[in-house]
Order: sequence, then C-alpha cells, then structure tokens
Amino acid sequence: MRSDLNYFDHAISNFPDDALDFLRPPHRGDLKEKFSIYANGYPLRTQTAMEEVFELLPKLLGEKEWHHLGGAYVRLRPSTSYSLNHIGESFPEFLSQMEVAHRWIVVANFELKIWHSFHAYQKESTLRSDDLAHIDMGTRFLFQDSMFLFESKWNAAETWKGRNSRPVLKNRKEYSLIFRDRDAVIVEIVEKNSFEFLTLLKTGFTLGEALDKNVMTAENLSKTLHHLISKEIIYGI
Amino acid sequence: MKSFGHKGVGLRPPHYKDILSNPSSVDWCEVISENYMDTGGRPLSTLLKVREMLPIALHGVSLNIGSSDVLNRDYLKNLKLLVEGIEPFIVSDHLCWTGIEKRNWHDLLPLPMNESTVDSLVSRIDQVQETLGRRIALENISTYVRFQSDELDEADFIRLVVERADCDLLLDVNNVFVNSVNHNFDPYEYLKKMPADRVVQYHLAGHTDKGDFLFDTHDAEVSDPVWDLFQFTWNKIGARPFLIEWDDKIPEFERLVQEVEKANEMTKGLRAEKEYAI
Repeated sequence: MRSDLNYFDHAISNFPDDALDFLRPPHRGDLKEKFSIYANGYPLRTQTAMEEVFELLPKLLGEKEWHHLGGAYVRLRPSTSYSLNHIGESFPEFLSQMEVAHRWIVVANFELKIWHSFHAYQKESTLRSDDLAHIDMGTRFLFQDSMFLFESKWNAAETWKGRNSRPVLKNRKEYSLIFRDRDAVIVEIVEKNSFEFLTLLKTGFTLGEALDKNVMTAENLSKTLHHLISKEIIYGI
Repeated sequence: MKSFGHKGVGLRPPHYKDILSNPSSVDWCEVISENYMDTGGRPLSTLLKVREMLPIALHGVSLNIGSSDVLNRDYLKNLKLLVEGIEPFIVSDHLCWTGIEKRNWHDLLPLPMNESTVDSLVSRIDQVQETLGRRIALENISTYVRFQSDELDEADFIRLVVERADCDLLLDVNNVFVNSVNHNFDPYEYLKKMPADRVVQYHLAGHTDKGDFLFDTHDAEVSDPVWDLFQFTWNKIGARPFLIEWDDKIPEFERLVQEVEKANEMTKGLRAEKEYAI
C-alpha cells in the first residue's frame, strides 16, 4: 500500500511530469485530466486559505505578485498541519528569505498577529472598574493571549483599518494595540508613550517599574488602565 | 435519551447569524471539526452557542485514516478535547488519506481498495475509537481515479472496513452517484451492498458535470438522479439524519433550508420514519 500512496503523493508534487501507470486507465476520458483534480486542488485550497489570513497584503501587492509569492510559498513549504488555519504561519519568514521589500514582510507579520488574536483563547476576566482602587505600584497585570503590540516604520495598522477602500501603505512610524472585544479583533493606533508603557507591563514589569521607565500623566494612566480593564485586555492582576 | 428530527445543514460562517436567529429551521448541524480545533475565537464561541440549541455532528477532513504515517497524536488529542466540549451525536471523517510523510494535501485522496488497505484501516480505526472512547463514522468519498492494485469493488471495500473495524458509515448519496458515473458501476447495486445497521447519517450535495466525469463540487443543488438514489436509500436502509452540503457558491440560508425541506418532503410516504435518538 505504501508504494501506491508514495506514487500518488509524488505525482501530485510533480504534476504533470510523473507517469500515472500505478493508476487504471479510466473507462472514459483522460486520466491526466482526472488526476489534475488532485494536483491542482492543493494550490487552490491553500491560496484561498491564505487569503483568509492575509486580507490586506494581496490588495497591496496586486493579484499577479500575490499569486506568484503565495503560489511559491505553498509549493515550497507544503502544509504539514492538519488544519488550513495554520497555513500562513511561516509566510512572513518565507517572504524574508525571498528578499521581498521589507514593507511587505511588515504587513504579513501584522496580519498574522490579527489572525492569532482572532483565534486566541480568551480568559474570563475577574476585574471590574472598581478594582482600579486596588491597583498599586507593585501590581503586575495578566494580559489576554489575544493582545498584541505592533511597532513598525510603515503604517500597517492604519492601512489595515482602511483595507476595504483603496489601501495605500505609507512610510510612517506607527504604534498599534491589537486586542479582541468579544469575537471582533480591534486595532487601535496608540501614542509611542502608551505603547512603551504597555510593552513594559506586558513584559511583566510592575506598574511602578513601568512608570519609572516611562513617565505618564495621571490622567493618561487612569484612562489607559480603565481601557485595559473595561475591554478585558487584562484579565487579572 | 433525547430525540430529534432528521433535517440537518453543514454550518458555515456565512450562516452563523441565520442559524443563531432561527435555530428551529433545522433539526441539527454538522461542522468541520478542524475549523473548531486550536481556536478560541468566533468559530468556537458560535459553535458553543449553536450547541445550546441544536445537536451537533463533528465531521473531520484531516484524520488521515488511510495514510501509512503513524496517526497524528496531537490531532487526536485536540479532536478528543473538542468532542468532550461539544458532545456531538456523531463524530465522523472520511474513508481516505490526506497525506504522507507529514505532508497534508488538504484533500480527500482515494485509497487502493484491497485487503492490505483494509487491514491497515481496521487497525487505525481501532486506535482512533480507543482514543476517543467512542465509535466513529467514516464517509464514502467521491473519486476520479482507481489504482491498478485494487482488488475489491468500492461497495465491498467499504462494507469490509466498517464491519471489521466495528465503526459506522456516513453514507454520502451524491458520492455514490458521482463514483458510479466516474467508474461505471450501478449505484443501486452498490447501495444494496451497504450494511444498513452501520449507516448513521446521509449526506446530499450538488456536483458538476465535466463531460467525461462528474466533479463533486458541493456548489449547487442536488441533482435529480441523486434525489432518486436518496429515496431508494431511505427505503432500503431506513430513516437517518441527513444534511445538504453546500460549500462553494454558498447560497442564502433560506435557499439551503429549502433544499433540506425538499429532501424532507421526499422521505414522506416512504418507509416509516423513526426518530434518531441520542
């Protein structure tokens, strides 16, 4: 049995070059045409799955370049996962190896973060707004797995938010916060100061340590903590 | 024991809102298992909400039961977690392979139909059922090619596998018809050979006529010859939960429900209906 499956597997990879003599001639029609259903199915399905992960990148690259890069990726990195949900995991790294323009790698990485946020498991938050009163300088925060911070020289977040109009990527420094509000992924563009503060908290620094390294006004601090609690971006302290 | 009617649909994201707002339009839903594994996002939260209202069948596409690779332990572990969380009335996959040497072609590939394949399948199905702690059902797939090493016809192959492996059969009536055209056999004789006591569910779907062969596209309404076969199957094998699979060019939910109702109408006046118990 193993040899039949190996022949079949090899013939899909090398279609249309392999001989198909391990298969019976069909009672009508052309064997190669019928086998092409299997050989052509993989790139079609994986490309469709890739476009569910990367919504913006194909629009920026244009159809021809997207199909060239996406096609090369699924051909050179065959799926080893049982789920097409994981198909885009190593696409940014693949783009790096292909030496494409850095901005496309940035966008691919950004969209992958969106994807991870969408699929992350959310923990039940135990915090309420009143808990702000219990927070002191020694408090550390527990962040949801769906929360990501993204920094880039390109305005990936802003472009992603406008992806359904005519998105144009610009060379503009940008800091963004990605989180999930119930089932929807939310992207917020934040100030550098807030970004660095959140990065420190997410890395495990206490509130006091984060404030030592990153000065914030009392008003801004209160607003940020209230936001983190009300949107359940943090689920515990 | 609860019982429910036969009418089911494959739950797909474009219909999430419809099914949540009008769950009584069908009796049960089937979902693709892998789409709800490794995710804590909208798909799973929707499935949990639907599960509160309707019975669910889990239908996998990547068990890879026919492969020569060892069974994927991570896959089975995650499937078991999903089964425990959803408590489906049926857990099914396909009588096929999807890849070897860890590659996954994400396709339902045909198996050589011979004793050696049957032996391998029986052992692997046993491992899966042991791991999940329950019976699984396997679906007959549509195929476009046959192996030189085939020794059994498809109906005999399927019957041998389900009987020796002590598993159930998800009978896809459209696939029987597609294969009967593609491989030149009588679909009615095929259905007569199916082990009725193993059949737990029916699938119906549309296909595309490519001239020299039929392509199982799931992108259209059920064709007339498949409706005829479905009625024959209902008479011959009996009442079972059935569903319409519509995975491409997905129509409005109302249109899908119309197709389900059409199937339901066709079963009336046939063999006495029995409710399916869970």
